[in-house]
Amino acid sequence: MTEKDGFSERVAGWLDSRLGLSHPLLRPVPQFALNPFYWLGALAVVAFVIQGVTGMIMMLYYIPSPTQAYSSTQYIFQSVSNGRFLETVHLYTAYAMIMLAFMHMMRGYFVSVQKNPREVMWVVGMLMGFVTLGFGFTGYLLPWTVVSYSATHVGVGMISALPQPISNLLNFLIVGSAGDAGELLRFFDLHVVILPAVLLVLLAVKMYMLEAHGVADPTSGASAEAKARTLPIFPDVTVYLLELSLLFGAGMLLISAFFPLNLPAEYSALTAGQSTPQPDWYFLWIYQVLKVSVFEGGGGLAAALSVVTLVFIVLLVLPFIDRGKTRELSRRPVYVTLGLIFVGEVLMLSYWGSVTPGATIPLEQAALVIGGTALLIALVSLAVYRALYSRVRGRLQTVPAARVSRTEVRSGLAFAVLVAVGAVAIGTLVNSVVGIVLSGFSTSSGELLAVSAGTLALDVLGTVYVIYRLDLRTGGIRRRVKAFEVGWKG
Amino acid sequence: MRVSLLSIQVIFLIGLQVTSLVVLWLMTPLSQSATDTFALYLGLDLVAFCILSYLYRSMRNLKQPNGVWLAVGYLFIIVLLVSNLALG
Repeated sequence: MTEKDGFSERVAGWLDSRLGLSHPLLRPVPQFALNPFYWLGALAVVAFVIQGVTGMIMMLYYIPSPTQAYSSTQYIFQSVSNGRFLETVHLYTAYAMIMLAFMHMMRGYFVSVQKNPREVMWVVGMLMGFVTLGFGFTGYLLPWTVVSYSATHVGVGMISALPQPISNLLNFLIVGSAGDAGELLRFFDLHVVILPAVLLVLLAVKMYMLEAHGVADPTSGASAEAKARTLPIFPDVTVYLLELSLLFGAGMLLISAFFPLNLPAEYSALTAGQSTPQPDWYFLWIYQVLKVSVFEGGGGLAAALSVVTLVFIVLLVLPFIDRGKTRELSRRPVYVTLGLIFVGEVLMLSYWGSVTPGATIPLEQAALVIGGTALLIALVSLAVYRALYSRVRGRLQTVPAARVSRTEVRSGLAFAVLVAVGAVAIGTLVNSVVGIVLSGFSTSSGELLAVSAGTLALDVLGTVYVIYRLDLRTGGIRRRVKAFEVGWKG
Repeated sequence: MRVSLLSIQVIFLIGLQVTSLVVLWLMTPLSQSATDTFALYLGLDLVAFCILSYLYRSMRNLKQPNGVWLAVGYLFIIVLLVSNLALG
């Protein structure tokens, strides 16, 4: 600091010298990371902090008992200064936190941050995502409105369909044996004590690992020069994050002003029938899967929950499934397409769920819509990749370019069709098995079972064959079957 | 004395922050419209502070502030002011 420094520099210098902010406790951040997409997780933490502050103020007035939960919430709305504002901001930052966590996860997926050496960081991040969803689930019940009560009990009702040890644990954790009063108290405790504590511990672990590994390079790799251009955490990166946080906060306030929260009616035996049980938007995609006709009933519900659980497990252990070393989007068409299908299905199912509250979805319709969405995204992705490869081919003049033959394109299309047919066959097979288990064997169910099983078997064989043909170009297959290579021009 | 555009911006933004803080301090937001006004003035305060932070960071790195980002920031301020009129 010199005599010529401006006022702001002197203030920053004073803070730095007294608080030791620029002491190299945290590693410098590469300049390329000053991009909002690198800070989605940080913004989710900012949302969490806003929720913590607003939640602590509301906690001064809220009473977690079935007889007083609603009236105390109403009191916050009507009589506490800024009460409605606090409630609205608390809710919208919760929504933003879930949205940001999802965007952070999907960005990480697409740019492959989960690869060596950040596998455990990904797992911890996923656990933080589950805790965030837990916040949503437990917080929704607290106002004790007819909407929140009925929606939460849809979720609580699903617990019984889970395997015995898990359902016992969850029943103990969130339901208890003291009826509504015990349940509300447990939800409150989870929401304000246990989940925040777990999230903070996970956040500390993740931050520690971030310090150890640093920010991931861009997917195309960073030159030594780009890596060397770093910025100190204070003041540059801190001020940048402050700017993002302020913009985020202002955006939340603007939305809060335009869409203020209104408290629905209180839950009671009389009002219970007035609301169609429907979870909040972030669980709608799961709920829409459960509403498919094939999953109705005890066994079906368990099957649907297994499907949803499988999706979460795959996401959790993704770094141990996607072991490829390359991180470039252009060289990961399968994983990128699968990611796009996942995002597309989540968006589509959420929207579909919002427009069909309480309606059972026929299996054929579900298969068409879900399969159709997947197929459409796969085809668009395939077309984009093909266009990208064509551009790259055009640029590479001296190097013999890899040519995608018609056979390969046909095989790729056949693969997409086979995946869609396989999805329908699996759905029908599950439907017929569940039908036989629940209603006993009949000729029609037996025929359906045989046809779907046969279709699936043929589909699997066809898929293996197509994959074999697609792999011929790479030479990855050691034992080749000449009879399978009719018409192949590699 | 030469007054730069930067100085004018800084004075304007600090003035905006002070004004919004005074409004926030004097309000008793219990009604819906008062709550909206409170949210929008607080938003105004945050955006003004955000632009000030951006100007500080640019100055520190001896860079000219990006006109597009500044325009976005001031547009946000206008949106908040107009929203205040519309909802008030």
